[in-house]
Amino acid sequence: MRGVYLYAIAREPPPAGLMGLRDTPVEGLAAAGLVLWVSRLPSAPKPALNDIQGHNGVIESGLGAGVDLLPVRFGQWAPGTEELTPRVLERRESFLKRLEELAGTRELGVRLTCPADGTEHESDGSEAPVPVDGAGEAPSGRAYLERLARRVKHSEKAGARVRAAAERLRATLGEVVREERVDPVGPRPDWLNLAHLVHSSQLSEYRDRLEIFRAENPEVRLLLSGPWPPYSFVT
Amino acid sequence: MAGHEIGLALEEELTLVELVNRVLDRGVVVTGEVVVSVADVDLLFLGLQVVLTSVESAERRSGRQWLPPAG
Repeated sequence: MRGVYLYAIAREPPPAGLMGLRDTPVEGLAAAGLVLWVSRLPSAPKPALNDIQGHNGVIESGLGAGVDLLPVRFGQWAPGTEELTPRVLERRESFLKRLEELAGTRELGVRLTCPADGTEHESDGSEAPVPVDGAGEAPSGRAYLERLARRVKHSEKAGARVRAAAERLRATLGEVVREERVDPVGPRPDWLNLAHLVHSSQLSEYRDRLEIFRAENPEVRLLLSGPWPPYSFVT
Repeated sequence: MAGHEIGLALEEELTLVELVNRVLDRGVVVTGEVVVSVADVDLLFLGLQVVLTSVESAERRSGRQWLPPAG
């Protein structure tokens, strides 16, 4: 028995001849106004880099052919269509609505950090000397707590700076950004990971405004990526 | 990642990290199955950490601010 592997949800079938993972063709499964883009695979693929790139390649090919679609996360495999299609149809209305809302859009990625300037004492407390406590309390305990407090304060300041920078960026980008998603970067308080939903016709305006932001905020560090399919905005 | 040349290689690595992050962690979920284990997600984050650290180290060594081109 062959399983089905899902790449994307659309309203149109995939371009003819589009190939997916393991040299399998990408087929369209029609389901109540939606078309599921699938390949027949005997088992769920593991997240190896070439398969991840292959999965994204199917989605990019669809967008490149002018088809609006919802990118699906890697690994959505089911033993058969009878296990897959009903789950998609459960959310048919929201998928149709979101396809409408995301039509023609792309995602830009911005990771940013805002280092402290030279006038601020940049210490997270970890290198502070251990003072002797005259009250007789074990010096290591109190000093540890003081270092911890300094570290927390440093983190809070770093977090406040980067959040303020992200707000200034959003203000500069203005209505070119239709939707924004903000996520932390692991446990680091001094970085933020932004995703911006932009219509493909406005990508150059987005870049122009980003350059304005850079010129006005030289202290902010940006790592840019994209344009991507709108993975971060499917719901 | 140690020992690679800063520049094009770093851009490619950043792009890969961004791609993998999106394809594994974003997008529509219908089957509800978790493909990526917790350990794999931690490795992904560590990958980005190493890349960010490389950028910071390279800038300290060179005395310049290194920014990848937009897009």
